[in-house]
Amino acid sequence: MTMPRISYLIKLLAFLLGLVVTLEAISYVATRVVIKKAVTQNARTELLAGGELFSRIMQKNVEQLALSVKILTEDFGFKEAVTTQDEKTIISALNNHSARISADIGVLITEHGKLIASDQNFALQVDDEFLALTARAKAKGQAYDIIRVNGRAYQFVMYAVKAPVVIGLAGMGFEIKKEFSLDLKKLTGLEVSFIHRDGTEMRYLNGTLKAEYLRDLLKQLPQHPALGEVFIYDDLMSLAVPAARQNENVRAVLQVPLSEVLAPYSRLNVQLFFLALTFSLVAALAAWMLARSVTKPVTLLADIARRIAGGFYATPIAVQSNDELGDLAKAFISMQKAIGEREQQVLYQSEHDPLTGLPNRLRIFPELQNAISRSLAVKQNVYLLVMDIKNFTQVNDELSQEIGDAVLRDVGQKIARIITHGEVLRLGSDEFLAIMMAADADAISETIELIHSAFKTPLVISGIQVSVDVNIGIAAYPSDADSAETLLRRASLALNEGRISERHSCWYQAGWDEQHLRRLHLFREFESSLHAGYISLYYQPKINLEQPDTLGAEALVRWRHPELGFVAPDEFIGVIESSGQITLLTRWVLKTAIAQLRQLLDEKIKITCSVNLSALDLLVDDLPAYVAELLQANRVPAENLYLEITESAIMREADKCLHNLQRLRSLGVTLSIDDFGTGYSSLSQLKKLPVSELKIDKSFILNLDASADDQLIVRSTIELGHTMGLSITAEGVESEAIKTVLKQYGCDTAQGYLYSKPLPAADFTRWVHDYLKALQ
Amino acid sequence: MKLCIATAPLKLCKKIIALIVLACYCGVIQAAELQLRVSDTQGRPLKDAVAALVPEPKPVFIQPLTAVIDQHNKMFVPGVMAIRTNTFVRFPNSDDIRHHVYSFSPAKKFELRLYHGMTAEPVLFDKPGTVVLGCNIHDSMIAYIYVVDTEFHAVGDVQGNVHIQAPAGNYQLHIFHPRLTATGPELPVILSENAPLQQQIKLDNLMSEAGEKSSDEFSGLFQ
Repeated sequence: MTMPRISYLIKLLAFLLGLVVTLEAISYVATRVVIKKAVTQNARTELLAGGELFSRIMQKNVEQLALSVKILTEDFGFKEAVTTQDEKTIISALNNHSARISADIGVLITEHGKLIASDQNFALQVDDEFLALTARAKAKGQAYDIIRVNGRAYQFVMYAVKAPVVIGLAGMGFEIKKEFSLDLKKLTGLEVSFIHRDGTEMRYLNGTLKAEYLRDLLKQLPQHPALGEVFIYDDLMSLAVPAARQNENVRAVLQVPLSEVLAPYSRLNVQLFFLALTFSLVAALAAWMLARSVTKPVTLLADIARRIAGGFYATPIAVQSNDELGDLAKAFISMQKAIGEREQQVLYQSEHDPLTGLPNRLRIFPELQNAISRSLAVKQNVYLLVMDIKNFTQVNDELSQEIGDAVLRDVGQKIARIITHGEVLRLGSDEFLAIMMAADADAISETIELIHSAFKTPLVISGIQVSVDVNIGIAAYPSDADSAETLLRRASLALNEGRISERHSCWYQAGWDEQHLRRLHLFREFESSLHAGYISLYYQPKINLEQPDTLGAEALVRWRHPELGFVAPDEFIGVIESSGQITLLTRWVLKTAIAQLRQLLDEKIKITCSVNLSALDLLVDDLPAYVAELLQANRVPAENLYLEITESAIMREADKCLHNLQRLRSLGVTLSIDDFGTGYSSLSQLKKLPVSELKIDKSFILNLDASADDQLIVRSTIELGHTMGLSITAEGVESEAIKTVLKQYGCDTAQGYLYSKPLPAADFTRWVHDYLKALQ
Repeated sequence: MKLCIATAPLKLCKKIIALIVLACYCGVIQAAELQLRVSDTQGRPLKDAVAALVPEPKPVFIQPLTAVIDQHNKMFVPGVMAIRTNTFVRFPNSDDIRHHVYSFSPAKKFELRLYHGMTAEPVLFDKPGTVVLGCNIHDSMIAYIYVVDTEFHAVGDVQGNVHIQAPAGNYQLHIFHPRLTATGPELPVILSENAPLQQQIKLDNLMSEAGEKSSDEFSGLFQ
């Protein structure tokens, strides 16, 4: 599981922003809560103040009423009117005094209980509450209460009229009416409702409250019976205050809608919100800048680290701060420097040979490219010299590895001292390389001469004189090659050619490389061609000169490649021998030839078949077993199979392959020596080999009828062979004349165009039939 | 209305007593005494109780008498007084401030407007009944004049004792008191010269004393 990549900037930003937003949110909410609490508290205080104001107004009213009633009762004229029961005068006096204080009603009750009122309707509708107040006034001389008459509530004060004994009761009242609640609302800003409690039932008298709220108010009131205590329902903060201390049945309910109270603060709320938002944005900006101040240098350093990873160590790093990031930048500077130095060291070590101190093979192409690119500008040629120490293996083996190393070191140093204008490198083992630039080859030839002459004096190593010589192969750019790779390959080819031809120095010749490449091509194509059937066997007849019906055939490999065309056996056999593929080819040839032999034998043709072996085949131990297996499998008698080995090959490796040759011979297979006369056979070696046949190379035969030398060699070879008990076959017999000469010399068998060129299997079979038919 | 009179021996020999009274009345007038003790129903003595013995038939008084109620220290002195019908009462003013004496009582309505010293004319009380006097300026000033159809009347002391000297005979005893809210009790009594008639009288329907006090204060309204 891979975590999604979240940049540090985002993380830091998210953290800081989260912090600020949280703080702002908390402070916003806290402020809101505090404001709401304060406002609510304020509203509560106002409500209580409103309640107090209401109580005081009621008290003032009572005092006003009491004062007025007292003045009335003490008026001498009024007293006189009361004693004389002068009703009209009494009513007028009541009206008069009521008007002074805007009282709503004035009454007088005579000592006989008659009720005279300024409003006759009032007099008719008084009931228990009024009578109770009257009784109290009579008993105490004065009384105050809230009374209800005909559904209206009054503040009522009553006094006894004394002259000087009680002659009646006078009273005045303020109705608790809607105007009062409106006044009260104007003073306090509170909603005012006057409520009368009748037992458990609440009755609305009047007030400022809107009709739609009344029902709820009346429903709520019984649940909040306590007076003077604030309660809240449906967003209404409420307070019930008794209209008089001794009468709680009539009460004023003061209310303030919280939403109304909070309304001015909702604007503050919005401002607070925007303030919080602004703070958050500013904080975000600050957080972003802070985060950037951290991440920007880090990103920069990360970029530099990537450049260092990419191998560039010279990025300038400016240290601007003295903090941890500055430390990091300084550490980067020293790291960059240290890595750069170390890489230089590693590079130097990897590109230089520790033994000689010379640049090693890794430097070859860079140096070559460098030289080539420079050469164009200065119009000079680049010469590449590949050198090896001719007898180094010998030195190493015969002396010691330490001396070998010392030789390498001294040789390298010597060459480097001679080639001052150019680069000297060590290619590997005992091979050195020099890259030089010159206008023509003469200067190079001089240098080469200098090198050779320098090695004429032996090296002295640990007191031992060691003679060394060097081979040099030279190729030039642009005349010999058009690229560094080609140049190196061709110089190496030249060295090889020189080594083969035993020259100290060898200049590359045009075509060598193409040949070399063709060989490589053949090598690559061989196996697939074998499988594809591009390689086939041709057969050339061998005729016994004494008994023409005794037939033999030599199996010859032919390769027809669709692109390369006909490939000469001499060319490709050498290639596959060097690549080790020869055993593969040999086995295929053996298998095919033996199968063909079987086929011919089946047709009642008495014939032998020769197959060429390479010296390498004889080094493989299981060849005799393979041959035996094939013969057995095809039920071919061993005496029908001839195996040919070239003279040069068998002489080179005689000792090593003797064992296998003997095993093959013991199978009953006939062994013959091919191309006899071209190698350097010694008679003693020849005598050791279990061979039965010699094949004289065609170079001696082709001009046999005309060349006396050839006649001498051939005749003496035949005689020698016969002396050693070997049968002799001549190759390259192309004319009757030559055949006659050979027959005259006693040659046993002839092979050549006189009889037939090599033929494909089917043609060869046909040829055999024709031949045998012609003989009869 | 209840009236409890302890008349121990009389009930047994009503006829004898009746004869004695008749003899006193017709023959030599023999002095007798009524000793009353007036209290409230709890037995607490009532001061300023007024008792009057009205003989039967009611005598007619031609010769006017004179009585005085002074005004001193914003008080009527005496505050309670009983007089015989057809009595002139003078209202001298001993204070250095003016008073405005009035009465709205049915028995005698009058008004003596603001005056000093002896300038007020005497007022004749010619009808029996209770006359309550006030001063229009000073509400606290109050006096009770009980006008009765007899010369045998007296005002009780602080212990509620009322003593009346009268010839032996049959009377209707009237009791008055300023705190009575209704008409005072009337009962027949027979005085003999042998021994003073002692009676215990308990009055109910009395006004409370405290009720009079805080009449000037509003604070009373809120108690």
